[in-house]
Amino acid sequence: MRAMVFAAAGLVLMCGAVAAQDRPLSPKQAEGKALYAATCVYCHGPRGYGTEALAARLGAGKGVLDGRSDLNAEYIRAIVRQGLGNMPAYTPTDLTEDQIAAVGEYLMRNNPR
Amino acid sequence: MPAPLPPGVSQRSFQSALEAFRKAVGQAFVFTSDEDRASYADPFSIGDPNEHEPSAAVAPATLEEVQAVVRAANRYGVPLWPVSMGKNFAYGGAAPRAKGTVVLDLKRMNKVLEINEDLGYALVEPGVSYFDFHKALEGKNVWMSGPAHSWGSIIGNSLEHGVGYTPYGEHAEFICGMEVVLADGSVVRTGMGAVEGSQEWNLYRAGYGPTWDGLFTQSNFGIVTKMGVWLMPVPEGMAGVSISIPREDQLEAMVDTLRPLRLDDTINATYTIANGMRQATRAGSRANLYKGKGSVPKDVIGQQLARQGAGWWSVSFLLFDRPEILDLKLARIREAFAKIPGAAMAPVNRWKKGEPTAAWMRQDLSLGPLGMVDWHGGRGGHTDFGPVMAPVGKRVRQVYDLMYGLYEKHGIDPYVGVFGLGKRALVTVADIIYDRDDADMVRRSRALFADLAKECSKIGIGVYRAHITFMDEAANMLTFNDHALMKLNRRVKAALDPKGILAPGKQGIWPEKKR
Repeated sequence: MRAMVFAAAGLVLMCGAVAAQDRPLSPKQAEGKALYAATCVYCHGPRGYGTEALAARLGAGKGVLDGRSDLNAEYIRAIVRQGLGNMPAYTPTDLTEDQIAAVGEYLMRNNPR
Repeated sequence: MPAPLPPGVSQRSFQSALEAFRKAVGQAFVFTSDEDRASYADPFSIGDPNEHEPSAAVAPATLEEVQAVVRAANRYGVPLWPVSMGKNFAYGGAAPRAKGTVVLDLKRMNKVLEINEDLGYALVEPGVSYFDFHKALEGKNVWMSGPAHSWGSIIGNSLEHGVGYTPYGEHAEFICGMEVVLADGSVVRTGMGAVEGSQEWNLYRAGYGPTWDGLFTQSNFGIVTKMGVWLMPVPEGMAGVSISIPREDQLEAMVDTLRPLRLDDTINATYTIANGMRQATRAGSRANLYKGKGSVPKDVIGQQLARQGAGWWSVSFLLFDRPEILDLKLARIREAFAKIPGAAMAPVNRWKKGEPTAAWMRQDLSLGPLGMVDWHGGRGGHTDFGPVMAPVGKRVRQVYDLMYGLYEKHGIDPYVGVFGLGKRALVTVADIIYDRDDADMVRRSRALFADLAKECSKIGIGVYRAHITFMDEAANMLTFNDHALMKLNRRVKAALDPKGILAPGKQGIWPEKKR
């Protein structure tokens, strides 16, 4: 019975996750996705150096940023603008505040609501 | 923390200069907050992160805005440090040589102005990155030559003598024509660009009279706002070759085997040699390989190479030609390396025009090599010492052994690669990889660079570029006739930039008043 409850809960969570991923992107999220592809993916894509570093530190499921559902806008902004570990800071001409916000919207699209 | 003032500039003059900059480029593009200034600092600083701290940054978007900023800087005596993308992290990133200098960030000037497929050239602005350019060239019948890290600027990399992996890989050699803002705010165009209405600006490098393009590379004589770059027609075929050489004492044989093959264009692109230490970093992190103090001993490196099935040396390169000619080239290369006992060529990758590209072709963009800064764990950093050597086994051995001994003396891991620079020179890219939070390692790394410069200078060796922290040491290696070339550089600097506005200290060239 207990196993069935967990299985049911897992099914609900899985349905929720699928629904979030299928949701159409807002214009801001779409802008963020394009910026992410142009700016971040070289390190944070599936085989990127940033992905491997994050996976080593936080676990395999946490490596790819745009697959996560636990990021928040302030944290994303702070890391982009100030750097972290071996990730260099981005200057205000690399990414504007609006652009960082758009990337944040995209990366937070799967967060639980 | 209060921002530093530019050297020799009062707070009042600095504020007036900032106002003038705002008028020139708009309020939003003059950056003075701590967070903004810090983003222009050297991310892998080798020592005090504030050693090269800028006082502000200003980001013009047009030629006219650059001119207005330069004129204002002249008026108030405020030095500017021009950067394009500012991503050359082994050499200081966007950070200025002299603390308090204002960064002139040219990233907003990011137009690809022309791509000419018939003649194989492009005209670009400083803010065009290799990423941007790669997109702009999609579907066209020309290829660019990209460096290991692709987020840098085409102009910045070429001006700093960067290297790629195609027949056009010696990037400064493929510059053709520049537009330059001088220290007084005036504009010149070099080569045929000096002719009003020229259609040959980016086709003929020499022009009439002295050839100026070289004077604006690795220099502080002007700000390059447009540059022509030659592009390679997409080749009919490619081959990717990697050869392993088993023993450490076969360096001379390898170099002497490569030289004639490169000189007659059998190998028609830059080759890369990696030593045992460089290959042993496949272990992942240093802790996986060696936990002792000092540099990783040779026997430990040897054991790791045996586990990897690798020889002490590896050399890899790309060949570009028609498939049938590639067959002939490969036969000749196999024949030449068969004379080195134990040399082994890995299965050769091949590509024909029209097929999809693959990672080994190095046409896809990457930041992968950045991972090496993680070597010690923690917050890493790297720079390198880059001596230029004749591609003669005996000479390379002399320089390599000298450097290796100094790495061991200072207890730094000897992560050494060798690149071909054109057909007639090699450069050793001797990486110095450090943990920024280990003060002793940082101190030893700095001492290593100083020692390398001093000792290599004694055997007639100079370097091809240097980190901002070490620019004076590198310039001091130009010893002929009581440092006559540096004296000439300073005379040119005094003539073109008497107030010392542009990049003071770059490549060791300081204005009169700062020396």
